[in-house]
Amino acid sequence: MKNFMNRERIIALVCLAFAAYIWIVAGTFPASFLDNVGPAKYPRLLASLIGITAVILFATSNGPVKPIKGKREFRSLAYILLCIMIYLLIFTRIGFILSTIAFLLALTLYFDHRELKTRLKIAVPYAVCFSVFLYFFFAKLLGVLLPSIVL
Amino acid sequence: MQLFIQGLGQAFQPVSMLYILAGVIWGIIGGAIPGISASVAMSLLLPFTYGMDPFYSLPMLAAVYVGAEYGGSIPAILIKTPGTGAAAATVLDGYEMNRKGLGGKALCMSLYAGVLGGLISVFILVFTVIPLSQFALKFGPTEYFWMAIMGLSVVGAVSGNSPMKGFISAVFGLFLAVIGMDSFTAVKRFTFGINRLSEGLEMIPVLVGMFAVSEVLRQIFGGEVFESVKNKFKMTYPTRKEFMQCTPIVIACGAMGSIVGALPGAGATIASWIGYSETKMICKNTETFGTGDIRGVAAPESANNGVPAGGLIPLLALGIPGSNSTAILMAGFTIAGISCGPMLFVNEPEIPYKLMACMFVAQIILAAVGLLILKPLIKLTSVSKVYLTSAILVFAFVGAFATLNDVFASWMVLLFGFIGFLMKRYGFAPPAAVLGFVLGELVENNMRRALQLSHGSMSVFFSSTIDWVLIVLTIFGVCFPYITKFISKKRAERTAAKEA
Repeated sequence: MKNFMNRERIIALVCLAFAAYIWIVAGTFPASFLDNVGPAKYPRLLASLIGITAVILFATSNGPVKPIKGKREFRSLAYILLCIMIYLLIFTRIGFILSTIAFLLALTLYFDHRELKTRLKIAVPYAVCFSVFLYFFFAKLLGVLLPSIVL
Repeated sequence: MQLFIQGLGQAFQPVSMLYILAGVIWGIIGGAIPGISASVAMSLLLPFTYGMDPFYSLPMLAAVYVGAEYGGSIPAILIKTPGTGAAAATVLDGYEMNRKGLGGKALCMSLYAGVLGGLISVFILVFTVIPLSQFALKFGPTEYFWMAIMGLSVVGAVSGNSPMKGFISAVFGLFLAVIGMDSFTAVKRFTFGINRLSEGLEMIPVLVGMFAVSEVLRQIFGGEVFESVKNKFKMTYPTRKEFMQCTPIVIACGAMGSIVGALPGAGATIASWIGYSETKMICKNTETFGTGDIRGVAAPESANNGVPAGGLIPLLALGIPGSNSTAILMAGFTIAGISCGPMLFVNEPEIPYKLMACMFVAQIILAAVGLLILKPLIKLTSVSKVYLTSAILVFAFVGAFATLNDVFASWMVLLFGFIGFLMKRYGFAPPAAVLGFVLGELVENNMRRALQLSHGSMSVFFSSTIDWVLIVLTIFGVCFPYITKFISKKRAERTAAKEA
């Protein structure tokens, strides 16, 4: 069973489920008498293409599947995703400059493996200067309405 | 031609050149920042043109357009973040070249292709402005549909090892373009109850997420970001042989870019993908495309830099702006009290030809500015990976924020970054999804428009000569890589048999 349901076949099933989802949801779109094609046919055509390809992928993936090579840093990936989410959540609340300084420090201090003193010496001026520069460049020069400074 | 030469004389005057220089620099900055496209950079400059002499204001706006089309390639090559949608095709080979330490070579080729492609398109504009504008009017829904399908024929080239997963990725991209309100019936499709999705997905958040953020996540997951060894600064330039090899491609793609630019609604993004796919179809030894082939940088860059001059064709000759950027240029004409259209060539012919001459000068200035900033740009990539990665992330999120002035766009970057990361991890092709997304609207709208006009009859798709030319080119584009692979395999077998 384990050999039958290899990674490629699981991927094919996920694609098939996705195609089914598109097909079913497209069926709920109301038709219009003004448009003889309708809003559902095109997404259903796409769903059919994905579905047929997924079936072929499932049928042809019968051999052994090569494992994905390379290191895996699950902790680092989770850390960066968490940092980004927190950054986007506080972005509009505490302002662009403070949130960006915090975000840059969180990344550089975690991923730089040198001594803490050396890291701080580089990371703090970098985070402050880069954030302030970006703020003035985007907000003042390009007129982008970045969340204002909260101090 | 005489008017163009007169225009050149005026364009080379110091004051005029200063305005063009300012426009080119502003355009490069605008193009290089994701979210600030050519049209945004031009619109930011538009208020300053009130009261200005149209002989200076219009060339300055056109120079912004020229600079922005080049500027988009800089972050595409260096940090895998296309500054504009048109630079998405440049990412494929440009970034791979940079990873191999050939970033200088890629930037230099991008500049060369951009400038030469731009110059070619200016010449095409000068000589064919009237007949090409008439040809552009022959393009109906079916022709646009087949043109988009021809652009999709490049999927095989960007699919990696699994053509089936590449195909699914491209269809997934086409699906992403469906999200939002249907433009025919106003029905909300796949918006998941989120009102902000009613207008569809913005291009920049999807591109930046799929390319830049997914790459950052991949590097972090693979532990590459922990490498403390700094990249050594090394400047590389294309060799004479590479210039010779790329020049015919650049000329052909520049000309093609002009034609695509002349088609209302097509634009630089589509031109660059068509340039990439057609080059892959026509050139020999194309198996290196997507792995850092210099021709893969030359083709899209030349094509998208050919678009600004091409875009002037319907604007000047017919008064039809074919893109956002030319619409802003048209606003510049209106502010100056000048009406675009056929009468412009009768009443004030010196204005359009002066503008063409200024675009020619803008290309020369672009070459000078581009060469000056080449080395400092390459030095940027020698910064420690940790700092570069964190800067890319901030740049990506703020750039996306700028597109909507809303943090929702930044969340979209994160979402598509994660989707792109998963796609890469499991053998799918994010570039194919981007290609589908970029061309999706053109495919669906024109397919439905054609079916509406024909009352559902499919024969409408095969009704004109242009349709058939595009169909043949598409079939050729899809089959060519397999045919060449088959022929070279047979040849290798024959050689092996002879040796045995």
